Amino acid sequence: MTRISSAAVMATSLILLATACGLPDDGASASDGDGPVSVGLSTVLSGATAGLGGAVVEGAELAVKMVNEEGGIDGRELELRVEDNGCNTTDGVAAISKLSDSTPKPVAILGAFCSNATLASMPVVERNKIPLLVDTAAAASITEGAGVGGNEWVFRWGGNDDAFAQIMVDYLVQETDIRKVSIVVDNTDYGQGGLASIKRAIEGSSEITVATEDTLDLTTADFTPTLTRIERADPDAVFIWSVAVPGTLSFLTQYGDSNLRSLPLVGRPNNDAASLGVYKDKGLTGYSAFHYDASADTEGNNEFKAVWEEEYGNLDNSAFGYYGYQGMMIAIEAMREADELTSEGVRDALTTLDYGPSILGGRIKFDEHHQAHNKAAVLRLSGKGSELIALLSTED
Amino acid sequence: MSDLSFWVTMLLNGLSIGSAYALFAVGLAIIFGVARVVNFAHGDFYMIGGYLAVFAAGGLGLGFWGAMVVSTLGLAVLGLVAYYLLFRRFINNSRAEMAIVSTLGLGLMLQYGVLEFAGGDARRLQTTMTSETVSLGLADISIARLAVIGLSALAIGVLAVWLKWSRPGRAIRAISQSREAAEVVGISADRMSALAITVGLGLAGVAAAALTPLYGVFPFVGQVLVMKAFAIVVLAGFGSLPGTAVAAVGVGIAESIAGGLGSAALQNSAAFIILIVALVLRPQGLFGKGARVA
Repeated sequence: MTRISSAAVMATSLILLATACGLPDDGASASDGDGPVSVGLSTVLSGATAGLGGAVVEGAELAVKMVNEEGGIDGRELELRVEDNGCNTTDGVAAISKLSDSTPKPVAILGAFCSNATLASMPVVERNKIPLLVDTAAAASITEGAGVGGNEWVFRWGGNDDAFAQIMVDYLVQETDIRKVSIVVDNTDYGQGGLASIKRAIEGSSEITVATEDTLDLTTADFTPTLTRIERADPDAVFIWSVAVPGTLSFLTQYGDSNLRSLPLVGRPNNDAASLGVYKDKGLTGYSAFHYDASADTEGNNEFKAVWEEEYGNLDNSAFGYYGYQGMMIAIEAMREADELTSEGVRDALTTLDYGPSILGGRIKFDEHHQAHNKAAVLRLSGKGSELIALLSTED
Repeated sequence: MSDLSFWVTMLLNGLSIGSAYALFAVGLAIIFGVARVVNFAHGDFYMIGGYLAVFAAGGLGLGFWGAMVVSTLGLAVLGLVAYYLLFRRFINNSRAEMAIVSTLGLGLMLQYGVLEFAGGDARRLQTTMTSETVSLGLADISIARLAVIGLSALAIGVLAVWLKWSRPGRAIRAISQSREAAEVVGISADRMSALAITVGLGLAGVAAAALTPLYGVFPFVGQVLVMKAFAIVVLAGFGSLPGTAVAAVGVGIAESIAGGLGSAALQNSAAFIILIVALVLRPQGLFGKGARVA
């Protein structure tokens, strides 16, 4: 053996030895001891919705700061690790893998904002045995695959498409004369998931009928043929479920220019500033079921807004900061109730957790599919903006 | 809505969509016919025109017609600059792939440049023309859509007259029919190509100002329009301007009926279904007799 190859073998052996000594046996013990307790956050920090993910991070950081000021978890400091998932499956897997492999091993991960990134993350957290606390991702398939669905590591505290669609159908039946709807969804995972949820909710109601059903390609320039066909079917409202992209705004604008403009848009119409600008210009109205509304007058929300304003000086990012803050508070409660401060311990605590009241006044208790049934907001959309008109339970 | 009213509405929608496509596709056709450049950045120039129109109407307070002038002249000037900086290098160059790759690259540069500079949100050119309607008895149509139909007919009509009767127009036609023969009699292919690109992008500027109130504008808005326009140019037979206009209106009406009777998916695929069927039956295109203009 030459001198060089002997040196190479020795160096390789040393590296392997050092690596083996440095790695925890299964990663689970990484958060044991007196060191910091780590929680991961996978969210969107790039692309068109980067600002929303940034607000989620601010919310999680605020909760971490508050708990550390109170002495941490069992005297140990809580630390937050954040990764950008780009709101897509590829970066989603990369982000959750990076968080899972970090040291100390996170006892829980929050995220992953978008349904596609969340669905892609589910096998990774299952493999690494780390509970994932799902926030805004609303695809029904997430909790269909969780709990008794097979993946014991995924828990959704935010609302889901089925719950939002059901809330909207119930609201229409109880509070309006709308009985015949045209369904318009987009061709994304979000839109198609929403379509399935709308159909389930309407099938469960004997009072709502479907006039037309359309899946839109949001790159389409001219939506007038679809709008004319809807007009011919004479619905009472248009049940819409679509992501907030420029094509959706184009559809909304053309809707406002059509003879349908007097019909309310219901379901999950977007309530971002640009969309509300079209509502104002065209005189549109709508009803939207949503996770949260900053105007909710509950004790929890008033406290949340007060600590947010004290920390950040204004409430600008609080609407999406809510997800990071509320998600972290649920994780903290599970950590406090866990028999041992490991990912397995936190997972076990989550399965029996009964946390509340939440910021919206509901209780966070996960069912057999690991879906919590927090309250959700019903908003009235108009030229005046977005107005909270009800906080309803998402309990089946 | 009665059946007759529905059909009239469908036809008016189709005429409006087709007129928009015509403005767009005729510009592509004249650029290809004269400069022999397949301009994959055409949709992105249209997008720039849309932003110019929004800025002129909103930022400068020039209103819809002022925005139309700014967008049209702006893109015409941009076309001239693009010709001398980029397109000119493809003239007399037998490597067509250079033009394809370069115009694709230019298009991406424009898209991501605007995304970086102005963000990805849709902008609208606000005008009451989109909500004010005119009753045509059996159907109503917005003034904005009537404007698209009227402007398209006017612009293409003026272009046809200019090509037929003006000296530069005749020179452009000569170049498109035989570049070598035209150069022998003293016509500058270089100058005529620059003129064709200026006119082609000027038409895209008209389209941008006319359509932005209806569709809005965002960095990637031109992608789908340019694909439809290419389908129409191929369907018509490369370079035939009347054929391109007729094919555009035909595709618009077919899309309207497909979307109105069928589905949004059928609407989006109608142009390409027609293209494939037509090319199987008539490979040179519906009006094609080789590359020419007018």
